[in-house]
Amino acid sequence: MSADVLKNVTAADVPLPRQRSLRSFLAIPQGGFGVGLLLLLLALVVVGPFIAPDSPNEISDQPILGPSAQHWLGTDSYGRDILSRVLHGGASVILLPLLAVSAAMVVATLVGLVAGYLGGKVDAVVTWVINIALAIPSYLAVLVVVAAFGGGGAVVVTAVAVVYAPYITRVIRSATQAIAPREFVLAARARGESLGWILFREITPNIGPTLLVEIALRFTYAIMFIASLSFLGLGVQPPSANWGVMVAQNRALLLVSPVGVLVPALLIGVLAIAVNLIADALTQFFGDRIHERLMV
Amino acid sequence: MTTTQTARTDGDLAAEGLSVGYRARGGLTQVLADVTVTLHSGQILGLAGESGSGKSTLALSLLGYRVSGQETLAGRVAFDGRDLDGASIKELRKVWGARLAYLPQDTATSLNPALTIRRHFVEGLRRHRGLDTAAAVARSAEWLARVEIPEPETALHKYPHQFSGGQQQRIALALALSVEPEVLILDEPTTGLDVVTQAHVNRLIVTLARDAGIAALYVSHNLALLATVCDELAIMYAGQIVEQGIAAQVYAAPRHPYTAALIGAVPTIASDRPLHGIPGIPRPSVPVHTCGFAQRCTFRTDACETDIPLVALADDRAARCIRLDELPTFDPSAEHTTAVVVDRATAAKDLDAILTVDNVGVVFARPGSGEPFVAVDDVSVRVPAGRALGIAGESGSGKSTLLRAIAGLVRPSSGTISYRGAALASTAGERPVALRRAIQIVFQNPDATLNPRHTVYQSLERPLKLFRPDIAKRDRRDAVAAMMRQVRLAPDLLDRYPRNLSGGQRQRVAIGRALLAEPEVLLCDEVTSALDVSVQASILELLVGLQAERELTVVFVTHDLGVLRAVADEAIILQNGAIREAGPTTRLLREPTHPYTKELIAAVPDPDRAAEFLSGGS
Amino acid sequence: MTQTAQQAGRPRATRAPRRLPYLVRQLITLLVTLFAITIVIFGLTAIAGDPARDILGQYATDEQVAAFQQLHHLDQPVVVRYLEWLGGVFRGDLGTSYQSNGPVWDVISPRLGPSIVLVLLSWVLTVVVSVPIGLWSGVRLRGRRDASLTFVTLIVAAFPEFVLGLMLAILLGVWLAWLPVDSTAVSYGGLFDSPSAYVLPAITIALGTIPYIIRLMRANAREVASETYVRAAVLRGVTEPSLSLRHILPNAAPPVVTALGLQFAGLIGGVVVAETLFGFPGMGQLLAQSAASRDAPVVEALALMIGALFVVANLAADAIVVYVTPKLRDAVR
Repeated sequence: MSADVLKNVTAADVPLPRQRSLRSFLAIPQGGFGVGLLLLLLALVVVGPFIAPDSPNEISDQPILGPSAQHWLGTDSYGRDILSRVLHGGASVILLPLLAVSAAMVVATLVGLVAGYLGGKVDAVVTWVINIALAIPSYLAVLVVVAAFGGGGAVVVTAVAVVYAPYITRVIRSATQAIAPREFVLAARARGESLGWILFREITPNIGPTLLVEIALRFTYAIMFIASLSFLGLGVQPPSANWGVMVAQNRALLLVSPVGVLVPALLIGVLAIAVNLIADALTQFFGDRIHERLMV
Repeated sequence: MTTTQTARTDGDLAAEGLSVGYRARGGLTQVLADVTVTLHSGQILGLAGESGSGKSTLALSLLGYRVSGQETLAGRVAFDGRDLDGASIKELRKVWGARLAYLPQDTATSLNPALTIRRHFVEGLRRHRGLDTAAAVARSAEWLARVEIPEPETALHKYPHQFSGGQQQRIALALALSVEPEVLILDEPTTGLDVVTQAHVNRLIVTLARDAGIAALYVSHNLALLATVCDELAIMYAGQIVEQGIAAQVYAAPRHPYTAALIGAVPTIASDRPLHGIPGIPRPSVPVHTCGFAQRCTFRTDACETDIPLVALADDRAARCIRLDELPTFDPSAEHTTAVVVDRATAAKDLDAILTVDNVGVVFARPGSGEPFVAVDDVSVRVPAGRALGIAGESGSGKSTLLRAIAGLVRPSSGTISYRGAALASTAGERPVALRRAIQIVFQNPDATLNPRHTVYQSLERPLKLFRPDIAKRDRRDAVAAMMRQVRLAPDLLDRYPRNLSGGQRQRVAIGRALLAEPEVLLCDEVTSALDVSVQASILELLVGLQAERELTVVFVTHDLGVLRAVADEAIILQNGAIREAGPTTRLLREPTHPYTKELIAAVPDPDRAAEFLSGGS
Repeated sequence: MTQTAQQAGRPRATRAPRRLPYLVRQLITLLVTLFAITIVIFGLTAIAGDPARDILGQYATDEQVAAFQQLHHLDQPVVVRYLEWLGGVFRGDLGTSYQSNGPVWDVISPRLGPSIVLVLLSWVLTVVVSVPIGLWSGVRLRGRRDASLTFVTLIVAAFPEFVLGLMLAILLGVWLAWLPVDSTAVSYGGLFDSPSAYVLPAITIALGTIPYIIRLMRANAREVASETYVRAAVLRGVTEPSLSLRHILPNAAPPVVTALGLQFAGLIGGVVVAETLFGFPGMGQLLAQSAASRDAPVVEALALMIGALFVVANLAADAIVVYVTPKLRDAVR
């Protein structure tokens, strides 16, 4: 694809490590704000189930009530307390994307390092597979998987991991390729260092910043993607309390009680924003330009 | 404060007591202090300085161009009696390109890749000279012909990338001159080009600028070049002009200790004087209440700790040194009388070859095209033990590829490389430990030669782990520290990361890393080309010293014939991957036989033979 | 350890064969890709096993299951089914829906028009909004206002389309009541009989890609603006708008054009979500519904059509990029 034609990642795009503190990271507006938001949300998700007034699937009152003193966010069409469901519904919104991204990262980092460093036939095969995988729109791929295997958390996590792995591999491979011809790697080759030493001791520490940015960015996308799939009824299945599922279910209440839809929807947005701000701050912090170059 | 030139004629561009700083993140960094220069019509003023001296800032400031955050702290830039600093962007845009022209540094990017040459020219000629398109095109073709671009009419319809780097820079020169400006600012206009191309472009610059009666400023780090092509010379150090005068006089009889030291650090091919580095690194900031050069100066006294004015020595000569009255006029050429110059090449023939390269060829598949690229073409050479072989050539001559083939980093397509008579495996990984130890390599780029994620100690310890089982683990730190002293580095740098070291220090670490393996052969790939000339001289001094001391065999790749002369006993000249000439370095440079060698030598600027250089040498 | 020439490739003495023109090579690659997509799609459905039980429900009789399997040729080997399906595609027969038991084409065809209009609308919206803003902010905008724009794009970019759409629906549909929150109207009457029903879905889809394109355009414009040749142009007296439009845009645009081609994939996600959210009777809604109801033939047909569109969009983007980049024009010959 044309991305390859224009792709001219150079060593200058792979950030060099700089001596900078956590404080200077937080001093970047995006960094401080993003970390703050994320901590707040994590607190909500962790503490939420303990402070929720009702259990998430308990039919506690009349259906479709507007906000009141008893039900701050009203009740849904089954008469469940929306606030309680919101307080319970965050864990899967965070955990499923985290699982998908972790799985994809591990595989993609290994493949990307090896293909990027060795080049030649190994790289040709990997590149070929990546190019084909990238030619399939992510939504399409995941929807095909769901059509074949049925929906649900496990299927969606696996599908998203498989769909994201080629994107991550491409980034890691390019970063590796930019580092591999650098002279300290040549020096290691001239010394006759082992493949493992070169990959993990010479190259990996230098693509660390790129990896971090990649994790944050990919996590943002995964949160949005998996939440959207849950919204479409393909991810987490009802009656589980999950913000995405709640938006889909409470959409019918839009005209009656918009708060019940808006709150879970906004929480998903805020979560993705927090991680996205962190990703952007990391990009600035390290001066990473690979992602911009590869148009991810 | 003394202003050297006050009288100006119309059309002259001048900086008067200019001080400039950059404001970033609340802090102010001053980069220029009290700079006074005047450009005169028909004359070229050379501005020499090492990296960070502020010379590029001065070049842009003279145009009234300010990068974001830049502030004028004192003084002014005057053009035609008017203040350029206070001029509005609208006024500036009428002057830029029309009366003040600029030729930027990066040859490959001075022209817009998306526009044809024609559009570059026509835009300016229409705007500034009011020509219609047909007249503008005719004028452009004329100028392309004057900068010796073949088939100017066809060339106009091409894009920049369809020309070579030298051609692009000649086009950029024509573009600047075509609007007939009064002033031309040249910022390192030939850096990055090959020597022969550099010489060609420089000849054109000088000829055309003088013909047009333009007032020009030529900014460069290359002192010998400036002394050759310029009328006047100003030497910058730490944001100040430290010496200024007629070019030939400044070069032949410097008055400021920095100028003298700088000249002593420039490798030349003409004289036998040994190189002397300047200790320390260039001062990164503008000095306050002290002489900027004091830290590195041999003649420093307590009196130097004050603001030093630029003192006029004559109408056309000034220097910024408190001890001008006490210090003698330096004579850079005098040193060779005291130095012992050994013609080491004489006995080389009798020595055994430690390294033999037999009919080696390296061919690369060119990505994106079917034509394979012959990087090294059937090269045979023998390197006598304990001697230094220099490999010289322009970029693309295959010199680095040949060196990398010897190091086992590039697989030769044909031929053999032998070490002490036994053929070496093609790649380092296939060679036994003893051979990997015996042949060590040092690379060009100080920014990349050390792993940025490893401390200096980690980098230096590695060869000990791999190659020196005789040194016990607990003794490694001592061995490393001893090596640090040998390469003249303080052992307390050991726990630092490369980012905290200067370029010269990193190259010293890289040399130390190679030497810790106790090699027989040291391969050096342009190890000084990215360094400032004063630092380069120190590294070369160190290398030559270590080579003699350890009886090392050195193979030294360089594009700089002066450096070749400083380090190599014997030399080969490569062009397009093939050997053009080989022999003892001194003889090769004094009595070249191959036309290509002659061309290379003629392209080296030599202030003593300026007329010859400007007329085209041989 | 394996030693490979990292930069220039392994030394090779052989002469490479003559190469086909770049775009022809790209076309072949893309056709191969499309072919691979069909195999992947079909392979996945095959791995998943027989869907008859899942679709008919656990109370279906064995006869019902057998009849279903026969109707959809599920009793035949995968390879045969794949070849039959592929042959059908070339004849214009996309198979039989598991759900309607009628031809897939009949399910899809009424939804083609509205979706294509919607996608074009969102795509045009993306281009006219993001390219000028991106270019302007990259060349001109600095300091606090630039940081604010970045912040806004980051925030909008992190909202999933369904959240954005929902907020738009509440704001423009419920509170201000300017636009219908439900786009079902599109399925009645002609393609352009209810234009207002397109607005909310189109904005929602476009908002999914606009922040990304703005950021890319801005970053590229800024990088080009700091190039030596732009500084040289400024110092030759070149003024706006010539500086931005003639000197910067042509150099900054190619990656954005490529991205606009690639963003077609992003649009697909947006289309699926927005159509579902607003009840817009298009291919995206059908895709989500069919995936949920495991109607594999419909999903396969849609995937093939969307995949083909995606491939064409990328090929077009490639062609434009090559056309506007003189260096590439020479390099790809």
